[in-house]
This record gives sequence, C-alpha cells and structure tokens, in this order.
Amino acid sequence: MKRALLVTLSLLAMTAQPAWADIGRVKKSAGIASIERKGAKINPAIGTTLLPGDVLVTGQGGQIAITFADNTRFSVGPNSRVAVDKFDFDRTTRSGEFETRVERGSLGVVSGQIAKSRRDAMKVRTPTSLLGVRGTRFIINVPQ
Amino acid sequence: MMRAGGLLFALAPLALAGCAGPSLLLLDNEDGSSEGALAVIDEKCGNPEGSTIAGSFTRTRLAGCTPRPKGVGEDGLKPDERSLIGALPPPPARFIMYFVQDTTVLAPGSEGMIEALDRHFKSRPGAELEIIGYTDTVGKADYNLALSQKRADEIRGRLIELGFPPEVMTATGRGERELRFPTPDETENGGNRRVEIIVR
Repeated sequence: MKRALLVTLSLLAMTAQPAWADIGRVKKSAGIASIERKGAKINPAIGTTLLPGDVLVTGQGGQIAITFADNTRFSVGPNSRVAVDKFDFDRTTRSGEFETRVERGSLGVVSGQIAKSRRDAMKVRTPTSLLGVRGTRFIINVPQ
Repeated sequence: MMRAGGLLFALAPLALAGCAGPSLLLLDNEDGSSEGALAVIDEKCGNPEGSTIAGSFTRTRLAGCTPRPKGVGEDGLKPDERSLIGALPPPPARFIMYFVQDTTVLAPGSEGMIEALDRHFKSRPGAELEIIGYTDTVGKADYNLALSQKRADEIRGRLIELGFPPEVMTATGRGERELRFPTPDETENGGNRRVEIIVR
C-alpha cells in the first residue's frame, strides 16, 4: 500500500514538470555562483534545470556552464549577471526564440538550432546594443 | 531622431578612444570554418537588415549603429577569454539507430549502439538525452509523424529498462523532416528510418 503510494507520488513528481518547461541544464559551476528565479536564489549544482526568466549570477572566481535544449551552449564568466529573458523551442520543428541579456560580466556562446531556424531568432542584449546571432561562437564582454 | 543620431556620432570617437564599454569578440566556428556573424539590430538604427559583424577573431565595440570589427588574430585572446571558451560544455554527441521498414523494430546491428551510448552518457556530468524519431518518405506525412514518435518512445522505454533515468530523457517524433538521405516522396530508405539520440 505504502509502496503503491510512493510509486504514485513519484509518477506525479515526474509529470509535474512537463518536458517543455525545461530549457537547459547546468553542466558545470564553480566559485560564487547562483541562479535567480522569481526572487529566490538557487544553487547551480550540476544537472539543475533552467526555466525561462532565470538570471545567471556569478561573483569573484564564479563560473556557470549551461547547455540548452536547442544545443546552444553558454559559459558565464566571473562577476557576471546574465538573464535568459526568453526561450521558446519547438522540438519537432527545431525552431524558436531565444533572448538573453548580458547586464554585466562576460558570456561565451556557441549558438544552436534556434539561431539557425530563422534570421535573428536568437538575440543578445547588452546595455548598449541589441544583437542578432547568425552563428556561432563568440564572447560578449560588459565591463562594470 | 536626427538629434539622437548626431549625439551618437559625437560620442563614437570617445568610445573608440579607449573608455571600456561592452564589446563583442567573434571567434571561428568549432569546425574551424569562419561563417559566423552577428548583426546590430537596434530598432533605433533604422536598418531592418541589421549591420553585420563578420570575420573570425575580431573585436567590436558595441556602441552606435555602425560596428567596426578589428582583427585580433588567433593569438589575440586574453587569458580570461581563453578560460571562458575552455569552460564551455562539450558539444553534444549523436548516436543513430536504424529500424525495419514500417516498424519500431531495430535493424540488425543497431542494438550495439546502446553500449557506446551508455559509456558516453556516464562520462558526461549532468548528461541528458534527447531521443528523436524519423521515418523515410513511404506513407503519409501524418502517419510517419506518429510512427517516428513511436520509434522514439520505443527507444526511451528500452533505455528506462536499462536503468537510464527517465527525468533526463525526452522523446520527440519528427516524421519525414530532415531526411538523412534526401529522397523523393514514397521512397524506401533504411538510412532515413532512424532514431537519433543527442547526448548533451
């Protein structure tokens, strides 16, 4: 009886987070690093799933590496604040929209399938400009 | 509008004179090709095409509407930029399994792929699997979309049986999209009847 309940509960937990909500995962993190989500601070342990609206924050010596559902890869450097404002990805058509804001610090990017799906489907905002990503490997630096 | 443009123009020489603002460093693609590009697409710049920034190993100050990339050369990366690139997660890996026509039965030889997949999965911290089903062009598109989903689900089920954690796997059907071997419609092709497993 107890076992059946446990199985039911874990099945519920599995379905509680639909696959589409999960936009990426932490692959690595070091030093002072956190994910800000709706005012809460989340520890970016390996395997932590990301949601649209998350802000990647690092302090001195901090670092966060992420792979997104469309195969885009991020490397956030120390003393950074990077907001994932929008991430929509249709796994069947492999198209979507991706908007990131580098408020400060540094971000290394290898773009993925969203950037390939349509011109400027992937955008990166800095305090001074709005960039359309047309591929593929680059670094944005926003000094404090 | 004119005023704002004039102001930007007046500030541009100052920015170039060395006050460190936001910048872009465009690198080569991972395969060493140099087709990468970005574009300044600010609405206030009034250029619907955007001003393209291209060229591997170039640095561009992000200010104003007219970017001027400057070559830095392959050795021009700063140490912190090198470590940023070094810290990127590894590129996703792909494993492909083939199917008997109009079934979810694996073609001979595809079974062995699971062992290689398992080894690779275990070697990657925080790994996840995206399982994507495809078909050849025999049959209607709708039917094939459903068949491709069944193929992806079949593989997902087998991997769960083998102990892969369900919460790190997704299964998607893509039907006749993205043929691995482009063929006309209604063409039997074993190379297109497949499931691709992307390990991230």
